[in-house]
Amino acid sequence: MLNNRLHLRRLSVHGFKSLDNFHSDLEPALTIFIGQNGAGKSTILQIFSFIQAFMSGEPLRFFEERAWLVETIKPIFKNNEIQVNPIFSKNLVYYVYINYFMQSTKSKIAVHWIGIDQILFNVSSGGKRGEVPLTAEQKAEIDDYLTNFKLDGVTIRIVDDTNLNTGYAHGEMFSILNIGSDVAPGNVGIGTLTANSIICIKGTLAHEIVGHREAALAGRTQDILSREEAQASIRAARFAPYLDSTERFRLLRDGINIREVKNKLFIQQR
Amino acid sequence: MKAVMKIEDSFLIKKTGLIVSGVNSQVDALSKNEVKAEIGTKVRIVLPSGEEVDANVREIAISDSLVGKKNISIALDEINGVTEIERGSLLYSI
Repeated sequence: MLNNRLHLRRLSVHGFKSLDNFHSDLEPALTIFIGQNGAGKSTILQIFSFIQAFMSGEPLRFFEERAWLVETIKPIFKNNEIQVNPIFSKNLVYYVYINYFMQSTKSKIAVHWIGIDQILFNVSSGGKRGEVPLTAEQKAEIDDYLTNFKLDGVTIRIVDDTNLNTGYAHGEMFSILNIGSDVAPGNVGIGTLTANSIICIKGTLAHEIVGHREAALAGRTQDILSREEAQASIRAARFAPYLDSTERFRLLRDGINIREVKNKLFIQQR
Repeated sequence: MKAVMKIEDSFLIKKTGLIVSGVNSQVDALSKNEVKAEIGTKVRIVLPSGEEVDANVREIAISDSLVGKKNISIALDEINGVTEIERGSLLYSI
């Protein structure tokens, strides 16, 4: 009976979110993927979702369901392959290739979504932040907000085209504020109350500068990571300039929502 | 020799020297001091071409992001006038 069923034999992925040059043989009965958060396990499943949308004649549905810049994607068909007009593909590079057996007939599907100028980066949170490089408007917002701080001696690096995360590194000889694409909230998980999906650019920068940097300058860096992160968010909520009350609430919530803080203050449960 | 990170960014700071930055998800859960201890005082950089460069570590600075990811930045002693390390190079502790 197995020979009469669809059997995917091998999966090859190039430039689909965090997966690049990824190849995996698929076993006839069961294949299990094990990996750390952000390793790409969910992305493998998303590939099949993408293929399903494509095969059902609704390739854009895959992007629309995730609010992934649908307006920038204009697919065209050529030589039985689907391609993205490079003019409209500023943020997407997809190339999925699957071989399969069906009733002993070897066939293959090739799906190409090819952008020419930028590729996707998935730097931070399993897909919730940092999925696409920053826009010019976002960079302008960053530049504008940074003018509120004294950052003497701090090297600011815009690294949204790398796998580096947004973060402030404090040293005796040098200090760096890396600003990656994860400085902006992600476009997955909207409506949830996670830091990933709700804390905005200003809030994230405030977390790094008012939180981590100013604590370091004051000699108040915490040895325990979770406590340092809680301190950074709460400090930012209290002292950061030009944040609206909603953003301060979000940062405060992020700070007190850290498990160690909840345990310490006995607010894990009512 | 232990792999530390793939270099994502590098630049020169006057008086400080060459800075290389990268990420390694396997150290995200470690403390900064534990990461520094893993790196040590001397590193080897393997360029995409296969060429190897050794350098002494001057200082290590590590950041934590809002979602729990670390960046590792390392200030290196001067390497024969090198002002930038090619992205994608691999850095090892030796």
